[in-house]
Amino acid sequence: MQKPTSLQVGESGNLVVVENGKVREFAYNAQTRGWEDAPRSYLAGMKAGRRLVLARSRNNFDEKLMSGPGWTNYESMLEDEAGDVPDCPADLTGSSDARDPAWGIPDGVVDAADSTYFLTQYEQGNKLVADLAGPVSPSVPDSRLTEDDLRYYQALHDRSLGYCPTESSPSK
Amino acid sequence: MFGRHGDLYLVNAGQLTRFDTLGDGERLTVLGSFDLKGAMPDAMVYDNQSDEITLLFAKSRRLLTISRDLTTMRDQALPAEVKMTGEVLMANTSLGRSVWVGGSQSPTFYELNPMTDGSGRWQT
Repeated sequence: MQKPTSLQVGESGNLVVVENGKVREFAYNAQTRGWEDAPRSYLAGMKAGRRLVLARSRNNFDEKLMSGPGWTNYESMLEDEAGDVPDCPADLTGSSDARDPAWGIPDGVVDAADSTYFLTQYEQGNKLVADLAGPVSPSVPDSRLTEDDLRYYQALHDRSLGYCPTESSPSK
Repeated sequence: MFGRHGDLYLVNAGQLTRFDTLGDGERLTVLGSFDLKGAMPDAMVYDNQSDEITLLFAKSRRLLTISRDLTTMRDQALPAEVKMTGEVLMANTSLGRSVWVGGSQSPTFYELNPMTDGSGRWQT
């Protein structure tokens, strides 16, 4: 490194460094036992000021308070006996209007709004929503948005049109 | 610097002060302070695994680790092999105990882990 001005560690374990006003990301290569420029980094090459701070995910888990049987024991209740609620993966939104509060909130119905929502997310590159498929297996995401994802969602959408199932039979 | 429970930690005039940012009042409430004897750290990070704040003092080559409530602390030396010149850089993640340190005039970053040999000493 030459005159780094900022150092951060991503949650993947990669190092993110600002050097000469540009971001570099380094990943550990277990084969060479060295750090190398990370392949397919979306940060590398971006302009940056002297200081770069990565956002980080956090939770409030406290093992002193939230461990042990007292934290997990609970009485069997009605919802335990109601059976499982099946997934409805094609249901993505309650509105086709991005300004509507129901945008991005599943509403229990698979309709044209869901298709619109998926296409919007796909075009915006939102892998969390739109990366559903890959070349190896149709239902295994591959961290890329391709026509495989479009085809997979369209097929899923078409066979799920209408109301989502609300409840399966109790398993007990 | 923010902790994961919404606390804000600031160093000023040689004191590390903990503020409550989640209160309803217009002013931040001071929850406690820790006397750094006038010393000013060069960098600090919050460890989400152990809920501790780690302060790095480059000149004296010390790492001071203080509990979230500022009641207990460990004062340890940087490992001898760590070489830092220029502006000090330090970072960590939410997912591990390691701390990375380096300097703006140094070609190398060092990963330090307090757990490697079980003694709690920082290891590169």
